Parts: sequence; C-alpha cells; structure tokens
Amino acid sequence: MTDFAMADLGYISLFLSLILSIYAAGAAFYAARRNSPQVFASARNAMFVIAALTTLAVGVLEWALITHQFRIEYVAVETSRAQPLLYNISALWGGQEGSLLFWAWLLAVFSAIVLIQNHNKNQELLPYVVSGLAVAEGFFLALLTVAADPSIAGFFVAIPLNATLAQSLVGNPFRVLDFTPPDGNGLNPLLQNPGMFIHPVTQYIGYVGFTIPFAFAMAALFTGRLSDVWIRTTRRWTLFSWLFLSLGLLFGMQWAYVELGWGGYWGWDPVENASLMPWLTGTAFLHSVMIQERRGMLKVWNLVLVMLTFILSLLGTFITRSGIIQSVHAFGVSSLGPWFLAFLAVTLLAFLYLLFNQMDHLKEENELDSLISRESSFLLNNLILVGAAFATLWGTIFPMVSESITGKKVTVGAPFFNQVNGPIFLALVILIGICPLIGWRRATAENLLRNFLRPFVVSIVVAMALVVIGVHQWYGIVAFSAAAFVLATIGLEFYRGILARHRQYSEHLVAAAINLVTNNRRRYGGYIVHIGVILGVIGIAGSTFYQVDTQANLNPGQTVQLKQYTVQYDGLQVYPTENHDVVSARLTIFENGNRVGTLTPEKNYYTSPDPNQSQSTTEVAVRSTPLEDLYIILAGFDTNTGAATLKVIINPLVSWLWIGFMVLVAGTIIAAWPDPREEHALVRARVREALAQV
Amino acid sequence: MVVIAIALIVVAALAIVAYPYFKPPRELDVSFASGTDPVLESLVVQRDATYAAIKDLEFDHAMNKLSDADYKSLRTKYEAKAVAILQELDSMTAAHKRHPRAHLSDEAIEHQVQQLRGSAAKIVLCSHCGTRAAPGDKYCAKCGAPINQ
Repeated sequence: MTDFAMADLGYISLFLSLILSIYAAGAAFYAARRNSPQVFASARNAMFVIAALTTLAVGVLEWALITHQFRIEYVAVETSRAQPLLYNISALWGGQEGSLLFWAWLLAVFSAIVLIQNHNKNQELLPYVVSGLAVAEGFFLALLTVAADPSIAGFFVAIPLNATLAQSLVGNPFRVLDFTPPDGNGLNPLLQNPGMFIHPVTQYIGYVGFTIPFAFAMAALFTGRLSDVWIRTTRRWTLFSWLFLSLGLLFGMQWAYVELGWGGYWGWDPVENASLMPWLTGTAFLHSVMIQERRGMLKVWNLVLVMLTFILSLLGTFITRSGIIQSVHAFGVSSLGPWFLAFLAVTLLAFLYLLFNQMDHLKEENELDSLISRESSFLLNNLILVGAAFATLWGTIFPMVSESITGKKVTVGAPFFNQVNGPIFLALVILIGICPLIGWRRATAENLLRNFLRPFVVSIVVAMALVVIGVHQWYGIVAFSAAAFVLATIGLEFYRGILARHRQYSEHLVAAAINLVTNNRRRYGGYIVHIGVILGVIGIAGSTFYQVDTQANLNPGQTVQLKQYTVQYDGLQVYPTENHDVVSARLTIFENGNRVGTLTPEKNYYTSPDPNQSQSTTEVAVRSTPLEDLYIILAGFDTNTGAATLKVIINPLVSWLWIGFMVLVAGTIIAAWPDPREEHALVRARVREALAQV
Repeated sequence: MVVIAIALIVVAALAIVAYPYFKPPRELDVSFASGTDPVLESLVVQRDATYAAIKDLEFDHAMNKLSDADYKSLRTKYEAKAVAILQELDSMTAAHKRHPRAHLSDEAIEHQVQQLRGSAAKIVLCSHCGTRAAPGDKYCAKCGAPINQ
C-alpha cells in the first residue's frame, strides 16, 4: 500500500501549495497596501514552503517512476519495466500532468530565488512581484489538483483503468488506479531519444524564466515605479531565460534532425513555432531595453514586449494541451485548454488595464534624433523581429481560426513560413551587420559610408567567389554574402577595438583582445552572439538550398552513389534490445573511392499495450564534417531477400548551425557575466539612497 | 506511517507561514515600510545611464563611428545632463541631511557603509514615528521625540 500513501503525500503537497499560493498572493498584496512587514514576511515564508513542497512532490513522482509504482496512473502510462532508466526519469516531464508539475516546480524554485536575491532590495516592488508570482503558481497548482476534478475529495477514490487511458489523463499526476498493473505502457517511442532528457528541460526553464521579468513589469506598472529599476533588476533573468529558450530551440532541432528522419531540423510545426515566437520577442526585448536605458524612450514598448514574451511562452503550452492540433508534441486532448485560454485572457486584460492607468507616467524623455542612428536601427530590429513573430503566429493559429469559422480544415505548411520569414530574416541579418557601424544619436553619413565600405567589398568578393566555384541558386549566394558582410563588420569591430586599446594602454595584442571583451561585456558578448547567429544562418542556408538526395533499393553488396560518396550496402541485422527490436542496415562509406567509415541506419519496433502509441521509429545514421552531413535513412527492407531501400541525403554546412548555437551560448554568458565595476556602481547608488534616508 | 509524515508536513508548513505573526519585525523590515522615493530612484538610474552613455560615446569616437564635431557636441550635452542630475540628487539629499554629505567621496561612502553595517545590531527606532535614528541621537530627526537609548 505504500504507493497509494506516497501518492497521497504527493497530492497533499500540491494541494497545500495551492492553498498557500492563494494566501501568499493575497497576503503580499495586503502587506504592500498596508505597509505591514509581518504579513509580507509570512507571504515570503509561504513562497519558500511552496518551493519545498513542490520539490517534495517532484521527488515523490520521480521515486514512483523509477521504482515502477504502476498503481499510480501516470507511472503506468509513461513508463514500463523494460524502459531504460533515463527515460523513466525523464517521464517526469513526458506526460501532460508531469510536465505541469515540472512547470509548477520550476516556477516555485525561481520565485524562491527571486526572494533571496531581493532580500534587501526592491522592497517597494517586491510584494507585488510576489503576489504576481503566487497567482501564476496558483494557476498551475490548480491545474494539478482541482481543475480536472473539482470534487477535491476525488483523490481519495481510486479509479478503474480505462481503455482510452491516454486521453482521459488530465490534471492530477498522483491519481491511483483501483488495481496494480503488472507493467506500464512506456513512453511514446518517438520520445525515447537522449533529446528527451535535455530538450524539454531547457525549453521549460526558458518559458518559466520569463515569468519573472513579467512579474516585475506588472509590479512596476502597479506601483508607478516605471524608471529602469525593474529592467535592471531583471536583466539577468531575461538573459538567463532567453539563453534557455535558445538551448531549447537548439536541442529540439538536433533531436528532430536525427529522430524524424526526413533530413531536416525544422518543420514549422505549431509547437516548434510556439518555441520560436517568444524567442523572437525576447530578442527584441533584449535590444530595446538598451534604448530605454540610454535614452528613456520606448517605455511602453518594452512593457508590451515583455508581456508578449510571457504570453507567447504560455501560448506554447496551451497549444500542446488543448488538443486543437495534431503533432508529435501534442499531449493529446484534455480539458485544460479553456483554463489556459482564460488565464491568458485575464493576464492580458490586467496588463492593458494597468498600462492605460499609467499612460501619463510613461512619457518619452527623448525623441529620435535622426533616422540614421543606433536607436533607429534598434527600432528597425524590433519591428523586424516582432513582425516575424506575428507572421509566425498568424500562420500557426490560422488553421484553428479558419476551422472554427468555416468548419474546413486547412493547413499552413512550410512554404508559407519560408516565403514570409525568409526575407524577414535576411533583412535582419543585414541589419546585424549595419547596426554596429552606427553610433548612438546620429551617424554622420561619411563615417557610415567609410565604415560600411570594406565589409561591403568583402561580401561582393565572396559572392563572386561563390559564383566562380560553381555555387548556383541566387538566394543561397545572397544569404552567404550577407553572412560574409556581417562577419566582416564584426571582425572590424574587434580589430579596431583591439588596436585602440593597444594604442591607448600599450597592451600586448592578446591582452588587449581579452581586456576589450571583459571591459565591454555587453557589447562584445553581444557581438559574439551575433557571430553565432550568422554561423547558424550559414548552416541553415547551406542545408536548405543545397541539399541533394537520392534513393535506391539495394541487395547486399550493391552500392549507391551521391556526389563524391559511394554507399555500399553490406547486409541487414535484426536483434532485440530491452524494450524494442532493431532492424539495422550495415553500410560502408567511401569518399572519392577511399573508405571513410561505416554507418548503421535503423528502424526500431516497439510493442505497447497502448494502441495510440507509435509502433516504430526511424533512427538515421549521420556522418558529419564541417563541410556537410551525409545522412542516410533505412526507408524499407525485406528480411526474406535481405534487400534494403536507402534514402541518402547530403546536407551541406549543417554542422555550422550547431556550432553557431554554441557560440551564441558562449556570447550570452559573456554578456551576462557580472561586471565588477557595474555592480560597484549600483552598490554606490544604493548606498547614497540609503544614506539619504538616515 | 506516511500519514504521520503528511500530518507533520502540514503542521510544519502552517507553522512556518504563521511564525512572523508571533515575532516582532526585524530592523531590516523597517525599510519595507519607508521605501525609497521613486523620484530619487529614477534620478539614480538616469545618472548611471548617463555615465554609461558617455563611456559609449568615447568608445564610438575611438572607433571612428562619430565625427569629432558630433562627438564634441554630444559629449557636452551628456556631461551637462550628468551635472544637472547630480545637482538635483544633491539637493534632494540636502533636504534630508543633518550633515553635509553631498560631496562625500566614494571612499568615505564605503566607510559610512561599513559603520552602518557594524552598527546594524544597534539600530534604534523612534518610538513615536518609527524612523530610524542614527547611533547616538538623543532626539528623533523627523518628529523631535526623545529617543530612549
């Protein structure tokens, strides 16, 4: 009976957390209005207790998943005895309820961290921040406890196992069955990939992280404290969350690349789009706060951007849980859709109400000095990014909107997104190159042209070189030339900066380079991030425009040729593993006649009592070099004749997409790293304030 | 057995949450009530931003993104803005000050901070209005009531 009792422990932890979060939301608000430190301390303690209780609930569920407590419904659905431990652990976020619990836990822990960080700071904003965070936390806890089963006593009753098990699961991860199944269903085979361990975690950290800046923004709106304090306080949270959204995108794309087996890494799937949109608005936000800090402009725009990023983060989770789309990402039909929609609507309305109330206090301090200035290029950057986000949003929800109006199913596929977002992103790339050339406030035309000239020449040279070596497809050439342009401008920034330091401080060149970056972390960290983006663009352009493929049905010993590669099919192997059977093709690869290695693409076959789960997955075989990927899929086979159908694809430059992401991560860490001087200045500022009070 | 654990957890949770009601607020919580003046806060933020802008200007000029004429005119503007902000800051602190603090060097400020930190255990509140009194005060600076040391 221990599994039943432990499930009670888990559920009660969540239920108690729900009560406490409602209390904390009200108490923090009351404490702020009545200036009561005691009540606030109590609300603060409640938030810490919620963090502890949700951690306990996560611990209980993980214990149940790892020790096969199949009496608990969630464990029976998401794990099995034969399933490798890694996937039993990651089953925590693999299913609907578990992923909601994971979200609630992350938010609770982040809220506790915010409280610790602001122990002596931001006392005016903090109570409202706590109140906001508690409301969000309460929402997720409600989904986990009372949303699916309003008769809260329902958890005392064990339910019978139901044939449409996967579809009936909503809300409570600790629901128990009235018997103990001997084994579980196991995770959907498509999810049994190492990507399962890291992609959802990074993605969720990114989504949940943006709750913090938004809570501060709402608190700033509510209190009228609309100077930059809320932005400066949350700057690292924004960078942290944006970094994890980027990592979520990276790992998602890598996983799709090897798992889905069509040679690509991005299909403009609704859930993929849902992870891209907050990343786009988050990027816009990261840039436009610099204008607010520098010139006091765009205050309203920044508030709107952080709200959009938060709402788009929630939209993703709404799309996957409402059952309105069919996707490998979808958790299936559930009753939680309307709850998310309601929460989104209430949040949006509350934000707009507070915003209109404060409009008088949100006066711009300055105007744009000139059209050719860094401010205007940042504005253009924002317009482009938000434009791309809205184009993606429209393409994503259009099928749902259209179906609800006309009743007919339409699909908006990759061509729409590629045609609309392609040129938008190209414009953005060029802007990344131009922007550093412009100074703040205004750029003298002659300076701009002079600085612009050399990188422009580089890009023309690159374009001509590409044409000469036989690269066709003009959009590829344009993309590569634009990339060359940007790399040249960034290279010039580093070169001139190093030279300036060398002259000014007589530093050795290497020391000058290091000091240049460490003394201007935001700027040069940002440049490194841009380099990463451009490398990614190179990878995307190469693999999108220059992919080649072929298909062949081979008997053992036969070969298929694609460009300089010869693929020799040696034979089929069939063998069982822990929870699936493997059919693999042994291949020997020759490049220009020289043997370079072997590859084994596979098909895996799973058995599962759940008829809704996939039965087979395709495991592609990839050989990566910096120049290109050789990507081979076992499309079909005949065990009688030993013949195999192979699809062979060459994806040029794909590795640069992954390399680019890693450079982006490094650049973000550099940009976010605390500058001792900056911290010192902030400390001095606070000290002066404190002294003014005494 | 688990039932006992659950009961203990519930009791512990409620106790932690209720605890502040039974304990007098610590000194640090007093700042919660008073808070900083939003205008002051805004000025400080603007001042730091102006410093950063000047730093950026110099950098851009060294990198030939600004002509000399543009650089000079912008630099003058920003320096004037910084001076105006500092003057306003000083006049605001002068309204509260009992001793001239406006021209304190940063080292002196650090010293004051150390002293304040050191004397945190001895922070005294006015029993009438709750304002924090500096160590050694006999009368409250805000309301004039005598302080019981």
